Amino acid sequence: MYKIIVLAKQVPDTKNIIGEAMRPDGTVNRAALPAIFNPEDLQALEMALLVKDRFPQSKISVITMGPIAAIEILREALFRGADDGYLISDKQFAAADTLATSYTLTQAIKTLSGHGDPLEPKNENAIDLIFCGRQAIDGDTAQVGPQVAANLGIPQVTYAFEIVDIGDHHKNQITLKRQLDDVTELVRAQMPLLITVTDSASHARPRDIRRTIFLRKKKIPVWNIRDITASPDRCGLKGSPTNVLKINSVILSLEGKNTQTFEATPQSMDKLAKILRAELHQTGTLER
Amino acid sequence: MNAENIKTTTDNKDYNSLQYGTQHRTIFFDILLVGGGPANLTLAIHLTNLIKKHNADIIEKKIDARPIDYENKIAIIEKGINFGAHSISGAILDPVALNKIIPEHLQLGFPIESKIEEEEIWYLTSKYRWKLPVIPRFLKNHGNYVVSLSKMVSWMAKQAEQNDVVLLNEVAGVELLVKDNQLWGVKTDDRQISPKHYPGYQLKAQVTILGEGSAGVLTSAAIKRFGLDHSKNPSVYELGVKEVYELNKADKSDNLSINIGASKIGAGKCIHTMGYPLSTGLSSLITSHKSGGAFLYGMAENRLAIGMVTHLSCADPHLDVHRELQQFKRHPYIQKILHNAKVVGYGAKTVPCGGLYTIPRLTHNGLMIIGDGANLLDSRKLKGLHLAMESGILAAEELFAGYLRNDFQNPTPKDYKGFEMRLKQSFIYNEMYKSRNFSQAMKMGIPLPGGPLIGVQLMTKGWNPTGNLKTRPDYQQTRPINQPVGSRNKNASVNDAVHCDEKIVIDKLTDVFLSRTTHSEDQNSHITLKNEEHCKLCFQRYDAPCCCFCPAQVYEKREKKITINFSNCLHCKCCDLKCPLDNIVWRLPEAGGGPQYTIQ
Ligand SMILES: Cc1cc2nc3c(=O)[nH]c(=O)nc-3n(C[C@H](O)[C@H](O)[C@H](O)COP(=O)(O)OP(=O)(O)OC[C@H]3O[C@@H](n4cnc5c(N)ncnc54)[C@H](O)[C@@H]3O)c2cc1C
Ligand code: SF4
Ligand code: SF4
Repeated sequence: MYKIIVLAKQVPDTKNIIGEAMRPDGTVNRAALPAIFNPEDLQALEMALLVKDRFPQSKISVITMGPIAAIEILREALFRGADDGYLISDKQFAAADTLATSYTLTQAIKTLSGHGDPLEPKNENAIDLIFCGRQAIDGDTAQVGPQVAANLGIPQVTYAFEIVDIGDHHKNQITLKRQLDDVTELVRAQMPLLITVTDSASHARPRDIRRTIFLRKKKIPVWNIRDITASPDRCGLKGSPTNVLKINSVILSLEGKNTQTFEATPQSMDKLAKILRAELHQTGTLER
Repeated sequence: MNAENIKTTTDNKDYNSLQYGTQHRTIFFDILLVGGGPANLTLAIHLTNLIKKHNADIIEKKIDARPIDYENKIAIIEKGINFGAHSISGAILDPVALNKIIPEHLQLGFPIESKIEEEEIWYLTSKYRWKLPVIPRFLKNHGNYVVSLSKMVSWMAKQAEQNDVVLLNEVAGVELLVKDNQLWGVKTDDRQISPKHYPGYQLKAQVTILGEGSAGVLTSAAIKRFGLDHSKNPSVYELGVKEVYELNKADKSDNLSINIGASKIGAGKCIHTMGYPLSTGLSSLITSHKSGGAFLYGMAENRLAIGMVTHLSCADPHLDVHRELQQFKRHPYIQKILHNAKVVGYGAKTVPCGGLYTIPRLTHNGLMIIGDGANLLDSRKLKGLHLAMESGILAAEELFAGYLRNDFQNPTPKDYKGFEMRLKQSFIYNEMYKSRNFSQAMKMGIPLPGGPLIGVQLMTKGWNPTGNLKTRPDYQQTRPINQPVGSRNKNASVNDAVHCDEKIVIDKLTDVFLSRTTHSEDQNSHITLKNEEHCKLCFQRYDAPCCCFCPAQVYEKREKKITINFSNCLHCKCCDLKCPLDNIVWRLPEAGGGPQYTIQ
């Protein structure tokens, strides 16, 4: 039996853009696009449900941060098999970048674990697994999941697409398949754990008719900034250091460029940052 | 099936023990509505309004009766991903039935595009236009609404939800549950989400109402199974194809409209046309082989609905209504309207136009049929919405009477014959009586020889001098390629015939993209051929009509074989009705598949 959280987001259906949904200036007219369950989050939910299929006593809570309308996807999750849904919604959360979003979600997770330590096994609300999609189709950053893991101080397995075993060796051990560029990695990890799920994972089961009938009126808690005891300075626009200067569509080509390889050490990362900064100054993208 | 079987309602609540398996896969209702179109939604809203009023009257001690508990007992299933996703129509709505169920609909935000203030009928030749000086009374639309059916249905679904009707979108009824000559409900679609298979549910009810729209799969099955069309004319259909354009604002002379000749186009305006491109020129007076017409309805936000409707009885094996619509738009007048406009939506659906003598028996044990599925459509006006809705009202009243009689305490499917009586006394019957011979004459051709017949009918409330006209199934009407049919166009594909500029002439596949149709590719094709060998015969005799008539280019002839791109399908049902060898089987695909209309 596991206590599972799924982080999900409602996104505009960017795959389905037709005339009316694009403004003349080429930006997306969000209001006209149908809002959907972020596809990889749905696959994350399915992975959680597969755990519950095996351990039926497990409990799945789905958390989403968004406007009131995002309650739709929580219902979707209930209809497919989740136990609870929580909507985190407040004006002060608006225009959050990934840092502010992951902070807010972390606070929500802490609240859900009864304000106790979400990781302390003796806390009966302690969390075992957090599933989220690798990335949302409206931003494609893939940062929120890993940041939540960092905030909570728990390990993470990113790009997972299959659970190989769970609880077979030890109750708190799980083995996952990770999808990397051209290899599949087999990882064994210790719970509590955060897992981000890619699009090669199983697709979500359909919503169940009986659940739809009887859960359609279930009350879904809506939590505001105070409910999750979040600090306003770290939420929404205020808590978002990211500044978008410009959006370009970039086509990468290595032809005619000299390439360099950097090791993953702090020193060489510093060096890389310096080079990039210099180049951005040169092209005028970054002003002093 | 016995009484206990249908009454074990407690296990309805057992949703949490659900594992996808075979047990617990049955759910019980009093009333199950199949198809979330205007007919069934009207029924649901009206019936629950009646029950709510009844229960309120009891509390206020106005009447002494037992309250009716319908919680989780009245459900409506819709195969589209949302309510409204499969809804497409012209559409001009005569609000007569809407006024009865929700008189204050406008205050409640009912989505109308415009109220009709001005209307015209044009006869087109290939270059010119002739405006009818007077509009026949039955075609008058002043005060009616122009609506987008998908918006309207999505709004009605919200009203039904507020009335506590169980709304189940993305659920298709795929099979009738029949036992002992009684209908006990339907089975829902299985899902294949590789590698898993999720079986459907058995939804059981004491009355199942089929409001599946034109040529419904379960409706046809029920009619056949219970012999409901005995001694009736066979159903016949038209195919309607529609595009939505966003007009160029710069071209507007004022806020509302553009001027074309002496005609203004814009919200509040509707235009119907006859003639070009279906039949023009002298030769068509004798041999006009295509019949139908086109429409232009001004919508809100500077949009224009532009559509073409053609009888499927057409003898020409190369009939392609999508192409006719493109031809129509090339008319100099229409080109002017569409100058710098942009196409933003597309869709297609069939319309049952056979009229009064094709209406099957509409009730049986546990069954009622309403709306387009019952062939309730006034072919003179191309209007079915108000009749579909009115049939929903009548069915609701019949079912409410059933509740008052405590019918639903006693679990056996009943035959609500009273529904047909109500229908005969309603304006539905009256309207359909007047147009009982219209379609048959129409398809003979306008202006000749159908024109004079229609003239007589209009003056005599539908009497036809040559006797009540018979119909023949549409697929039997296609003639082989070596027999002449009018001014046959040799080029089957719009791409060859006229250059696609993607402004006026839109390629079929571009249009299909705008319908946003898609089907999960994990499933097997929902369209199959009975016998591939028959197609080879068909290639020689008819030149594969499916490759032309399908408005979504689902069929393609490749290396002497038909390939079926089922993912493109718009669920219009045309292929089921028009393959000359009746070689196509159209089944219901997994729910959620199909078009995703929003403004159509
Ligand atoms: C191009 C065109 C123009 C038209 N113009 C006008 C007009 O101007 N004015 C007018 O009054 N009428 C017009 N009509 C006719 C009008 O649209 C129909 O009469 C009306 O939509 C019928 O309503 P309905 O509820 O019977 O069926 P539909 O509107 O067809 O609804 C049936 C619904 O049932 C669903 N369904 C079907 N089978 C199943 C199943 N087995 N399981 C689950 N769901 C199922 C379908 O997805 C659909 O949503 C037009 C039609 C067309 C095609
Ligand atoms: S499917 Fe029908 S119309 Fe198409 S080629 Fe075969 S027989 Fe002819
Ligand atoms: S395949 Fe048949 S039902 Fe589908 S769009 Fe083509 S003609 Fe219509």
